[in-house]
Amino acid sequence: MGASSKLVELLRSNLDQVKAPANYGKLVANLKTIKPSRRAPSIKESPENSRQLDLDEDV
Amino acid sequence: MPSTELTILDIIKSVLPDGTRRAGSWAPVCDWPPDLFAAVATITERSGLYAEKTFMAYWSKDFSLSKKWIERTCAIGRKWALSSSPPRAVETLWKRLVKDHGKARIDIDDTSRESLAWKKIVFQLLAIADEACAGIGFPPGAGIGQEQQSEVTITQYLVAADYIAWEEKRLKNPGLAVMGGHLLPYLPHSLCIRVPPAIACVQPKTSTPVVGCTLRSLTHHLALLPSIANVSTHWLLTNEGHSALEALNLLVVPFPFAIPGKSFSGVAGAFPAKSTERAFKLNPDAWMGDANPQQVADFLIGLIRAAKPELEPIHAIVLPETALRLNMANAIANILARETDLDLFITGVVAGEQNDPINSAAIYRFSNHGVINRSFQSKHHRWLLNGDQIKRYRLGHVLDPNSNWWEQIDVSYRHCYITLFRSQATLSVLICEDLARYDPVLTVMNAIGPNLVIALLLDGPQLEQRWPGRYATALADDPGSAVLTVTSLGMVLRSTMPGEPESREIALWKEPNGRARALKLPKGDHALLVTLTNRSVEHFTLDGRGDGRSTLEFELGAAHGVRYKDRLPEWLEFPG
Repeated sequence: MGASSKLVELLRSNLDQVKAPANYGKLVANLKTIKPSRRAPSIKESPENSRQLDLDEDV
Repeated sequence: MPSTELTILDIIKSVLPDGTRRAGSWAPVCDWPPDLFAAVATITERSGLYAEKTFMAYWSKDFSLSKKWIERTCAIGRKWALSSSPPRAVETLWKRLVKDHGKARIDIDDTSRESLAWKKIVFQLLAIADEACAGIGFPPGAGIGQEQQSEVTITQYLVAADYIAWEEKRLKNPGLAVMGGHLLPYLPHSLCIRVPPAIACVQPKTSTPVVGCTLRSLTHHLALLPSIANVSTHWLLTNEGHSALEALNLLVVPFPFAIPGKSFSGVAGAFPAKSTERAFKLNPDAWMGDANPQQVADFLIGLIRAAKPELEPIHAIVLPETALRLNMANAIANILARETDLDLFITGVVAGEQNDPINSAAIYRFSNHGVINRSFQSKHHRWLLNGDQIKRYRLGHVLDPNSNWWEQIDVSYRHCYITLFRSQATLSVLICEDLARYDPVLTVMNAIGPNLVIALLLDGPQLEQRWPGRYATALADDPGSAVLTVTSLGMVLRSTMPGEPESREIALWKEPNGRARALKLPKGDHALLVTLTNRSVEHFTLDGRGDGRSTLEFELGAAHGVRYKDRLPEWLEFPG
C-alpha cells in the first residue's frame, strides 16, 4: 500500500476546513505524556504493498 | 501453588501491560477512550457478561437499564468526546472497578450482588468509551446530509489528524511498513495507545448488528479485534467529497469472458502426507493474449462510454478474482485514473513470483485524475479443486480428478483493508474462499461491519442457493453488510456442459433485510451496470443506545446490461 503525497494533500485540505475543537491542544499534550516506550511491532508486508505510489514507475 | 483464578485486575494488566497511564500503575483510569474500551471489552468478552438478564431482559426483576441510564451514559461519553481528560464519573467508575472488584473472578457463574456490581460498572464503562468515540475514523464534520452535520469531537479530530501524520511518515520512509502517527503509535491497525496490538486491536466500526447477542451488538463506534499477528487490519481514510447519500454506480465486468483449460496447470510434486494432495496454478496470460495495458484500459473506457446513455457518472469498475496480472492492473489503474472520472478500480490480481504467486484483491482509489491510494489484500485460504469441481468446470484433461488440487499461492500475508469510499461508508473486498472461511478475516468483518463487501470470485454461476449466496446472507445478517459477489463469465461458462443451456449469473447481490438476488449478464453484453442506492438508518445497541441514523444501508437500485459499441479488440475472446 504505497504512500501518496496527493492523498496527504487531500486529507490535509479536508481537515483544514474543520475548526479544531476546543481543548485539542490540551489533549495532544496529555496524550504525549502517556505514549509508551514500547516499540511498535513489525508486520509482514507483501512486496506489492511496500511499493511507494509516488515513486512507482507506472504512475 | 500459584492461583489459577482469573480476576478483573489480571485481565486489565494483560491488556494494558504498561499500566493505564504510566508503567506499573493501573489505579488511574485510561486517558484515551480506545484504551479503556480495549480493557473493558476484553473483560466483557471473556466473562460473557452481556448475556446477563440484568442487561438483556426488560421483563426480568433483575433488569437494571433504563432510559435515564441510557441518557446519563451517553452524556458522560459525549462529555469525554469533547474534553481533554476523562470525566469525573469515568474516573469514579474505574476506581470502584479496580479497588473494590479488582480481585473478583470472572471465570465463575456468579450472580451475587458483588458480581453484578462489577458487571454493571464494566458494562457502563464500555458504553461510555463507545459514546466517547462517536464519529471516530470518519472525516470530521462530514455527517449524512445537511441536517446531520455533527459537531466535531476531539477524539474524531485527533484520529483524523494523526492519520495524516502517519501518511506523512510513510512518505518519508518509502518501502518501509510504517506504523503510527505522532500520538497513536499503532495506526492504521489500532486506535489504542497503551494496548499493544499483539494483545488486541481496536478499530472504528460502521455497522451494529441488529440480531444476536454478542460484544459486537454492544457498540456503534468501536470494534475489538484480535492480535495484529493473527490478522492486521488497515482502516483507510480516503474520502474525496461525495455526498454520503449519493448512489454508487458500479460497472461489473466479468472478465475474462473465456477461460481456456490450459490456464490451469499442475505443479510438479505432491504434499508429503499424500501423493493425491497436489497443487495447481493459474496463468492469466492464457486469457490475456498479447493485450497491453492501454488496450485493456481502452476496452474498459469503451464500456464506460457505452454505459453513459443510461447514467453517469460511473464511480467504480469491478473485475473478478485473478482477472489481471499485478503489473497490468497497476498500469491500467493509472490510465483509468488519468482518462476517466472513476473513483475506484477493484480487480483480482495475480502477484508475486512465478513460482510463489499471491492471489490478491487490488483496490485503487482515484482522485483528481490520479491514483491516491492502492492496497492489495492477499487471499487467506487456498482454493481446493476436488474431483467434483474438476468435472464441473471441465478441467479433467489438465488436472487429474482423482487428486485434490490446492491453489499454489502464498497465504502468509494476512491483511484486511477497510476503505472509506463515502464520508460515512466503508468498503471491504474479499477473495473467493475468504468469504466462506470464518478465520481470520471474517472475524474482522463481523466486528467492523463494513457497509459494503465485494467478493471477487473465480466461480460458477452466482445463485442464491450456492455457497456465495449462503455466506453473503450470513454477512448481511450479522454484521449487516451489503454483499456483492462477482465472478468471471469465463468460469460461469466452464460450468456448463456443451449443448446445455448456459448460465449467465455473473454476480449476486445481498442486502440486509432483503433476499439474495442473482444478477445475469444478458447474452451479447460485456458488463453489468449496477446502481447501489443507500439510506441512513438508525441502529441500536443491545443496551438501547441509538446511533442517530448514522448508519448507511445499501440497496440494489438498478441493474443494466452494457454492450461494447465498437468492434471488439482482437486480443479479446468473447463467446457471446
